[in-house]
Amino acid sequence: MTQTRRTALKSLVGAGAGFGVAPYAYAKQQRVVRVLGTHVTLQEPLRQQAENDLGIKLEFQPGGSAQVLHKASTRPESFDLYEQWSNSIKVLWQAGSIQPIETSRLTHWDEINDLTKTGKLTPEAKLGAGDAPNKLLYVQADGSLGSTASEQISFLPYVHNVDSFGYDAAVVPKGEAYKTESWAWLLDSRWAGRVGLVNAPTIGLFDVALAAQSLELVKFKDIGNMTKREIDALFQVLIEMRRDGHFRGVWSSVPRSVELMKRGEVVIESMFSPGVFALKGQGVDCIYASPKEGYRAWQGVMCLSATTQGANKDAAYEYMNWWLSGWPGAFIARQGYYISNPQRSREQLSQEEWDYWYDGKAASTDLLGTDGKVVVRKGEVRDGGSYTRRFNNIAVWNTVMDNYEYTLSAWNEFLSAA
Amino acid sequence: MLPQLSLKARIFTSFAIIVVLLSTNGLVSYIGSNRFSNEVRRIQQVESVNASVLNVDRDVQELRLRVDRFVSTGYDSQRAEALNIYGRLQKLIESTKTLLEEGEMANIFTQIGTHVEQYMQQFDLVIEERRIRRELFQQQLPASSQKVEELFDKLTTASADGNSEQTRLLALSQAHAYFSQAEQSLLRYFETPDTKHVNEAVAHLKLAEAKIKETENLAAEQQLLLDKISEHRAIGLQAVQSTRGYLFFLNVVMAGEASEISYYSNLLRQLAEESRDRIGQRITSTSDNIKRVTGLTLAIASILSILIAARLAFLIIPPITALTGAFQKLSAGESLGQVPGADREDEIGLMAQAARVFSNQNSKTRELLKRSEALSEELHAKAAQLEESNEELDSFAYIASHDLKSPLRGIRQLATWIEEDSGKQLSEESLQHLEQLKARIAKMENLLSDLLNYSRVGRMRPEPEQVDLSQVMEDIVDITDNPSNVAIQWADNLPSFTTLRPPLEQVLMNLVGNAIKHNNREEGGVVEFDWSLEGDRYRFRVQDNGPGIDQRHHQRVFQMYQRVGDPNVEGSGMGLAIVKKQIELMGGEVRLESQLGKGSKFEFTWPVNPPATQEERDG
Repeated sequence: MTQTRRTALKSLVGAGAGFGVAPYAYAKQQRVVRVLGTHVTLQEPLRQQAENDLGIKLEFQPGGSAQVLHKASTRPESFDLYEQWSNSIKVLWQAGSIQPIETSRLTHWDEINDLTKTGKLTPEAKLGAGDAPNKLLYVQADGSLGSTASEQISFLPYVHNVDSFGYDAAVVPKGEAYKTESWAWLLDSRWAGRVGLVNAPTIGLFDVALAAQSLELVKFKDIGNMTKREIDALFQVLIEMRRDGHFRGVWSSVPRSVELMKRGEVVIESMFSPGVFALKGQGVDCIYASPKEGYRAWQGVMCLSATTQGANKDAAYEYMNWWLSGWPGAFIARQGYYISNPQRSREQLSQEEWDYWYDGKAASTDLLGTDGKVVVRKGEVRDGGSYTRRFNNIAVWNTVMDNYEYTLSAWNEFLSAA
Repeated sequence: MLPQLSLKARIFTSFAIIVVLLSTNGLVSYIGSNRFSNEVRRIQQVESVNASVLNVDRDVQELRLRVDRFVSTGYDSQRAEALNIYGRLQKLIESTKTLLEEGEMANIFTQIGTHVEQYMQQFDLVIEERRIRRELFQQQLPASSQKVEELFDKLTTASADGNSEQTRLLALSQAHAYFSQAEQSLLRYFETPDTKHVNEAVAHLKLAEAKIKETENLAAEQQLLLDKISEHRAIGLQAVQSTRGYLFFLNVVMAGEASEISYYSNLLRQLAEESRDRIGQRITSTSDNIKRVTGLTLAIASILSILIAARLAFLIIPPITALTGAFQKLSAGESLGQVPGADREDEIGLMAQAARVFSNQNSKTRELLKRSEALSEELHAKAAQLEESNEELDSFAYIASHDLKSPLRGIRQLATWIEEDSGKQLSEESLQHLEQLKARIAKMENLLSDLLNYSRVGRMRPEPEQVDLSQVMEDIVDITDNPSNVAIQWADNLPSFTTLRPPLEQVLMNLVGNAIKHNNREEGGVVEFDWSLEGDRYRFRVQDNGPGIDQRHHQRVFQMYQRVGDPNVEGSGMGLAIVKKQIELMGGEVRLESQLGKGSKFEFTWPVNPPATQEERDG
């Protein structure tokens, strides 16, 4: 993804070291695990908690999405664990930078829910287009990645969420989740000049593609893997609209997305969950839309470097297991993210927290974020409802398409159009 | 109720109001001109900011151009120039921010600065990615490829006889072909980045690996080749990822920052334009307001001036006009029943009060005049009566003196006859009496003669004639009895002029005669006669060195039958009365200067031109 989440989350973390102690004790060995990743998961409270729980030394190497992906793909010896999004798996696996993870060494592997294993959280869920995590999860017999279950996986599934767009309800009339709220709003001429997009073709492109598809401006055979012709058609629409001044611009960090809406420069834009909560905290009635077309989903991945072996590899497994041990899942739940084995985290959440964050019920009390500040007021209901309802409505997964390079130049043309 | 203001106070108040209005107008103009100046300064600032925005735009464009050229060529000169432009941009942005006060435009410049900085940070990453890619693509990948090729060659030359060998060589050959195809796919990717080329390369490498694994007997070399191919794949994919990386930085991150810079510079231009428009509107509005306010204040000042002038004129002119008329009437001596403005408390009221005083004075004057006229009439009547009485008296004197002379002459004759007839018979005493009688008669005759002369004065109307005063004086000397030989002196240039001779001669005769007669000096008596011309009349002076006349008798000497001085001097006391009467009849005047023991000086005036004749008067 981008460096966008990092600064936002930076502001949301801080006094998180008081949320309890993981129930599992691990052998204390002073080993070092180098973790390359983004600020979404490389948060100081998590590092401190893990070090305390595991007795290992963690070296976090946070960076921007592209930067860390490049480093991971070209210099596997520089890290032990790599934390990012599922759309980087293809690259890393192809480059041979990561090694398979043995499911037998994952203590809570069996608790991992079906979202990652099958692409559907529930049988009735929509199967999102693009690189659903299950398509990249298992190491196949031929060394490729696929959805056929095996005992080796390319990544540890853990943090994930669905994204959509946020809008300022003071300007944009409030819609009804899954019914009237639509990606098409991003291209609604009423908000001309006040529309923002995330500056990432693997993410923002899908936001506008879903919008254009909803308005039937462009038809995609597979929105998760667009052809060059489809990309051309989409960008023809986008460039024309940009020239007409429809888009205010793009943002490259969550704080920037918050600033844009806070300043009123945009009233509707691609958003990440922390940005929405940050705006709410600042008094902006920002609603995280639940588009009727479905969400754009992403799956956090934890990968093991191809060069990590021995004790470091053991420590890396311990750290992976720690992530699924409950406490970290509860921690990131308070930031709006989900964990792949939520039931274990439930033990670390209060009933009110569970009801709000996972069950989509109205908060029966004010809820605190990881920084100790109130992020949810009593009576509020999470946009989009419960975990199940949200993940049953996935339109597309963040994906590095086959025509990724083509989308880069098209994206440049779009940005340069004036 | 407020006391009525004085005119002065009203005029001053009125002028003060007008001055205040005009000052307000001036103040408005001053404020307006100040605003103008401020707006002009703001426009200059906006223009300056506009120029900076254009420079920023130009530099950003050039920066992007240099970055693109570096990406496409890899020339360090382009990178150096890009860094140079970046430094210039930073300075420009900072210097422009100092021009701006805290506000939207300053914030935007800050945003531009931030995005330019981020743009350049990404540029650093692009440079690094490009370096890595070049190293991978130009050095590591060819070296790796060469190693693989060498191993292929080695395995091929190390072949053995037999069918299995042929199979192995075929497999090696196929593997080599797949490897070459993979190489070509990779090269295509670096020429035209497209994931399908990578997939093809990876697929071909897998096929090559599969074929190598089909061979047998040369396990060590086989494994080495497989390792090298795997290594080669990793290097190739790293080069691919580097390509993707710098493409991402260039096309997404840097383009995003550039688009934000472009947005903010557009916004700046728009704000500057709006600001300029707004200032322009403010200038127009200020101008209109100044015109409106100054026009309004001028109009109010004009209207108020007119109203004040009219009010003052109404307050002043009609009452002044009425007062002028009143004063004209007063100057004509009229008195007024009612004085206009008398009920006012201001200056006009005071003037009206003055007019009232004048009016009252006129009334009194008129009454006095009436009384004067009445007195004058009465006086005229009395004068007429007096004149009549005088005339009657003169007539009586004339008649009496004339008529009495005749019987007196008879008496004198009778006395003479008596003396002649009986003189010798008469006693001495009777003779003495007779002499006394005769003396008395003579005296009586003289008295009557003088009285007759006096009464004749003015009664005679002689015609004017040329009179030579020297001659007149000589005649007087000749006929005047001068026993004491009083010297009579006169100037050589005595005038000769046309006048009534008899009265002048009589006046001079009487004055000179009196001077001789009364001169008590045994010798050395002197009488001087001289003259001077004063306008239309002569002034004559007869001066002697006789005994002089006491001051207390100066008035009495001109009265009839009044004698002063030596009683032995013969005289009737009528001489100077006749002199006075003659002179005054001619319109002149006579006066005496004298002191006892210091002689006397009689001065009288006489007209140069003769009085009109009877004909002239009648005609």
